[in-house]
Amino acid sequence: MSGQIDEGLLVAYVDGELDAEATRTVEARLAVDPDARQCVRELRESAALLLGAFRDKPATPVPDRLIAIINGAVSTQRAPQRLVSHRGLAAGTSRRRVPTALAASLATLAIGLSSGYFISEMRVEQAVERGQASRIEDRKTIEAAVTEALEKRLSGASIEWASPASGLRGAVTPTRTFRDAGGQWCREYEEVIRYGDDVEHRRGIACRTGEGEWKTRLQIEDES
Amino acid sequence: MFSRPQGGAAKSGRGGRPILDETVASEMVALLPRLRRFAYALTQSVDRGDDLAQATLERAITHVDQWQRGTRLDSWLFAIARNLNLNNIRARRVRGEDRAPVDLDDHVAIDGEGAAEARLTYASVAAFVSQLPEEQRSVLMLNSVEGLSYKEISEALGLPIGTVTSRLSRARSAVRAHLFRGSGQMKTPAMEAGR
Repeated sequence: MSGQIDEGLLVAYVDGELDAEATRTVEARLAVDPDARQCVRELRESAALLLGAFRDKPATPVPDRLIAIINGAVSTQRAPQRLVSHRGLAAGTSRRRVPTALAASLATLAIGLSSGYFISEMRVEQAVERGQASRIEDRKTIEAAVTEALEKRLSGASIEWASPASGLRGAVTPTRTFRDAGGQWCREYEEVIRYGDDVEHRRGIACRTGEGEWKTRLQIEDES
Repeated sequence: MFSRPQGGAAKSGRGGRPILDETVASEMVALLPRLRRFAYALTQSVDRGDDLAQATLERAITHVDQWQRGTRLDSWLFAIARNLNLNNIRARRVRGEDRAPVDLDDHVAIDGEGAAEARLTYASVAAFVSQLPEEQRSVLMLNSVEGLSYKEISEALGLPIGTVTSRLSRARSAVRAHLFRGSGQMKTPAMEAGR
């Protein structure tokens, strides 16, 4: 095999930004190219160091003047709202895509690269864009499966789904049904999402807001 | 998918000045550490960073009606901070001043005699990042530190996704080359390709 793989492609791969096809291409290449594997390791380590270098900066406490600017602009005419929204809770957390790890079983992947293969920056961009599109599709597929499982399945029974575009598949299983303090029906559920050999488990609570309408109130990713 | 509080983010107060509702205000307070961190990385100084954070908040509050409820407040603040900082850089250039001095407080550059191991330190990473061009540094921070996806960065800064992708690629390659240079490993393909 001649020619080095484009580092931009590996950066997008490490970030989980590539579409399924480009991901498979990179992984096939990684299986046979120790230099590319080393590059991926170094890119991952650099990303961890970048995060570590800035995570707790600046070390000084938030100056009062900054908080005062915000508080000084708050309307006093309105009654204070005690709304802890899911959106608000998630605001401080990193929102990496699911799943980010892409260690599909390299041994089982077909290797069909022609020699001298070189993917241009343009093709990296296209692969990133297709990756974005397929993630939006994935999210719709998952939300539809969750809604159907909550609406139509007894606790313990699953709905399975698959997204051919990205290779993601998974299952949703309601586990418990209860009424909340306001009398709304709510259900706990478990989700399994697979990509190749990677498995991710999530648990959530959703409440029924109308006919076939469920709002997720809480979602937790389990360490797997 | 999630319920949203009703009503706009801004209401007109006495004198017609927009004011914040409690929900938006508390979200802004919660975002302060991240806003300061981003401003610090952009300005390369704690003091200038906090000044930039302050200017960002003032602008955000007076223009809060331009923020679309349901979109990310953090992305919007980051974009304001970056634009204000770019204006500052241009203004300094017009006045004939050089780059602002780097005083990343406790980040000390390690050079020359430092052992290979010492190069793999946060201080070295931060010092290197401070030397990257602003256009790379800002997307690098949003991606690697603030956890925004390429698409979210593209939307926040109003840049085509291809531009975000290639700036990030250059920045990350440069950081990797800096950290692992001389370790006897792979050379940088991008440099060899003459880009």
